[in-house]
Amino acid sequence: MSMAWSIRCAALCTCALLLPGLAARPARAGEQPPVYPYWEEYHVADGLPSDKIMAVAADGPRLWIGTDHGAALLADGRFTVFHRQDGLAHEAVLSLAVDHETGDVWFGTGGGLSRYSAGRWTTFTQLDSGLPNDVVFGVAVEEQNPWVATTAGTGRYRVRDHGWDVYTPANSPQHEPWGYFVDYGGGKVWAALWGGGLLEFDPRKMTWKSYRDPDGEMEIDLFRDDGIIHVITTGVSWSEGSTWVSTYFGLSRYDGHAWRSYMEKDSGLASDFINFVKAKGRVAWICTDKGLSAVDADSERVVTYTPIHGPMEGQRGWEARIYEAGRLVRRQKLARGLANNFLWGVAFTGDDVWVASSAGLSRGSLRPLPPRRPPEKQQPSLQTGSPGPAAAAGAGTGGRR
Amino acid sequence: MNRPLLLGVLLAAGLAPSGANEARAQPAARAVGASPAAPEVADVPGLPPAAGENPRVYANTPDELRPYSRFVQQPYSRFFVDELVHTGPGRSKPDPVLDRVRIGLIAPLESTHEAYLGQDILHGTQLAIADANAEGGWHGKPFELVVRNDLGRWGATANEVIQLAYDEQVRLILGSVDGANTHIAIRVALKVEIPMINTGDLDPTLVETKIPWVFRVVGDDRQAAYTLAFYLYRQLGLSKVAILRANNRYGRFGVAEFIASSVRLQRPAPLEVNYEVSWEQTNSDFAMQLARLRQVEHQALVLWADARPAGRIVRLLRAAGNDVPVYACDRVIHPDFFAEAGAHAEGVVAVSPYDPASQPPGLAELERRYGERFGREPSHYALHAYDGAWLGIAAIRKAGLSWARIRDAIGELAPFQGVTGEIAFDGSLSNRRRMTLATARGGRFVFGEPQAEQRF
Repeated sequence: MSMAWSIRCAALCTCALLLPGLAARPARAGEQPPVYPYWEEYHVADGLPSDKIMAVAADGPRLWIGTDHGAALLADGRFTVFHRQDGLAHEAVLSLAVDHETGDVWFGTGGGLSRYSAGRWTTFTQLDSGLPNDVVFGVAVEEQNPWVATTAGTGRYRVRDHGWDVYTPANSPQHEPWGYFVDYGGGKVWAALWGGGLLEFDPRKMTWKSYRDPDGEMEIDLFRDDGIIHVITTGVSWSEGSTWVSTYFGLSRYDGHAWRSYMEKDSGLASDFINFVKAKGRVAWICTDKGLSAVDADSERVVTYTPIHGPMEGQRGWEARIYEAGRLVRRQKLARGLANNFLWGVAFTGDDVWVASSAGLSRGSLRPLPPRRPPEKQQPSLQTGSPGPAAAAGAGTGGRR
Repeated sequence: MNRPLLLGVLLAAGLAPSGANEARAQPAARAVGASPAAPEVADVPGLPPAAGENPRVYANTPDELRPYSRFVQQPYSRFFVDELVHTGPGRSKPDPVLDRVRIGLIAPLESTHEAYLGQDILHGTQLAIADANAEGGWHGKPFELVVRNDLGRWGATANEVIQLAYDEQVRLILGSVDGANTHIAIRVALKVEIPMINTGDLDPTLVETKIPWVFRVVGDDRQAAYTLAFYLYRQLGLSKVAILRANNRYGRFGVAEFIASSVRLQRPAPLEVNYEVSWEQTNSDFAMQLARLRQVEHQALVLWADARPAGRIVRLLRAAGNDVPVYACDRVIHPDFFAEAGAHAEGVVAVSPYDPASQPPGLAELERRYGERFGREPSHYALHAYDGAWLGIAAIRKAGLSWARIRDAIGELAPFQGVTGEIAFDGSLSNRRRMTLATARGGRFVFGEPQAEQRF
């Protein structure tokens, strides 16, 4: 066997090992991400309990909404509103997760974790359960088990035996127990830690991996693409082999082999200050303080939705800015923009994207949106449908653990 | 392997991350309209100027002390140089109808080793509230202080911020002291979008979070570390320094920048010796620490400790015949230090975030009134609390009761003349008044002695 032939074989084997994900990935039609030209807004006048929307989560065609003054379910164009007196742990709902197996909905609030299951509320607090702290910044569902991100640790409630696992510096690779967000994807639990980077947990092996900012410094990022941009991580989302990590300093993506950094200055992100990231397919949606960005993992094309005249000037018009390889190549004025540029969360129903902001809920669509029915605010009798198989029974019957 | 050495090895071996060259070669790609591929794109008003290296410097950091400055000319990105702005809504919200204007205070008041600082902060804040109410409050409505003890366990500070904001309807929150608990609080402040003014947490990382709702009126241990490092290594020409610190976040982060500065000034990394915060129960004679220090050759001792343990350590050091010069953190500038150290405090040098020798307007009068009311001299924690509370009160008077407007007004009021001196904010919204050295003489600290040639 000649040396040259050996080298070619080795190179082929290496490619085969490194690129299975790419080889298996189907071709993608059109430019990704596409521009969403059609937007509409929802406010208190439409039936929301508050205009400050802090979280959204989709359950099929329905949308759960967390605000600073209660939660809401948008189904068939109507809002059903839930407050503390209905069984919600606290009026401020910071995070949401839907268990797509059971239909249960988990609410991370400012006063505990609430579950809405088959029309019944159950609340977990740090005083009556293993919840590490009552302020639940993030919640995600792993095989029916909710994970929570709190300032006193990252925790898991085991729904089958009603036990809790709490992960702190005592039993996992973190130096402060400051959970800030949590996600489940690719069979792994991903925890974004305030000052602690990213943790990856394998529930089957019960093993942890830790990812930190390699330069170890707070005031700089030394090299591009060397790892997480900053140790203060604010969100994480896994989809199709990519782990997206948001910070208040920029965005990072890890494909299992290499890291990629994205900042406003070199990618077209609306801002480096990122409150939330959620990936769908190969596209990550970034919620910033200056607007929304969609980033394609493969082409690195970025579509940013932002007020034309700068943040806080949304009433003077919005536009979509399309960036390729970090260069602005096109601007597209929008007939209507988002409710506000300070964004907290994003969710998807079909092709539509829903965006939580500090001043209303927005819906983006690829197609013209039909006229809306007049607002009709529902009390929590759940006539709009039920999140679980037997939801209507016992609606609003709160219970505390 | 320390970080600079590791980086040097990587660079020498050609193993530096691929972004190394890219970082230097990256043009100002965000230059809107600069791309020949998009000639139709015009400048967009309201956007920042084209990206490039920002020439401004964070925290008065000199070139020599910038991370990796000996190896990398320009990092991929520098943070905290552009002023933080709240870009969200809230400014047009009408004022809530309230019969009193509540201000929250989170401070360590009992059941913690930092209660001596928390009590000072409480007293300083109470005095400011009383003064403001004597002037008529806010449009005739009194200011009311809502006080919460910073328990520091199980993330309790997060719960306190939620309750203060939503249940107590406070207009702003003051506090706290402990770095970890204050970090926990500011995360919630961001979600709630309520302004916070910190007056007593010198943890450098507190403002290294880019939260536009948090202002700090006192300098931090990063500045203290730079000042001490230049004084000890450059001005005195020392080379071997040891550190004795509290074994908690305060001690760890307090000396972190001093250790980094030592290495960057090409001195040996100081040996670190820790003591437990529960020293009174576990090791009140500090025998282990003093024995360890005896084994180490050092020309000076840097002490990052609370006032009482610092006083005890100095007393025990001197009683054992150890006359090594001691350079300490700001917490020793407190009556509790002298109460514990006694005459052995003589000559101890501390880093101070304010300089009373500069005679800031109103300081002497406040010291007199504070002494009359509380029976002791105010520490700088009390004085900065007074200033922080007054800044918040002035912001409410300027802006009304909307959290977003109060937040903006706090920034707009700077530079603000306080009893500790001028309060001005840098890009991270932290007051970067330069540090001063002070020496213990006859049971008091004499400020401006020794004269540090470079202060940060």
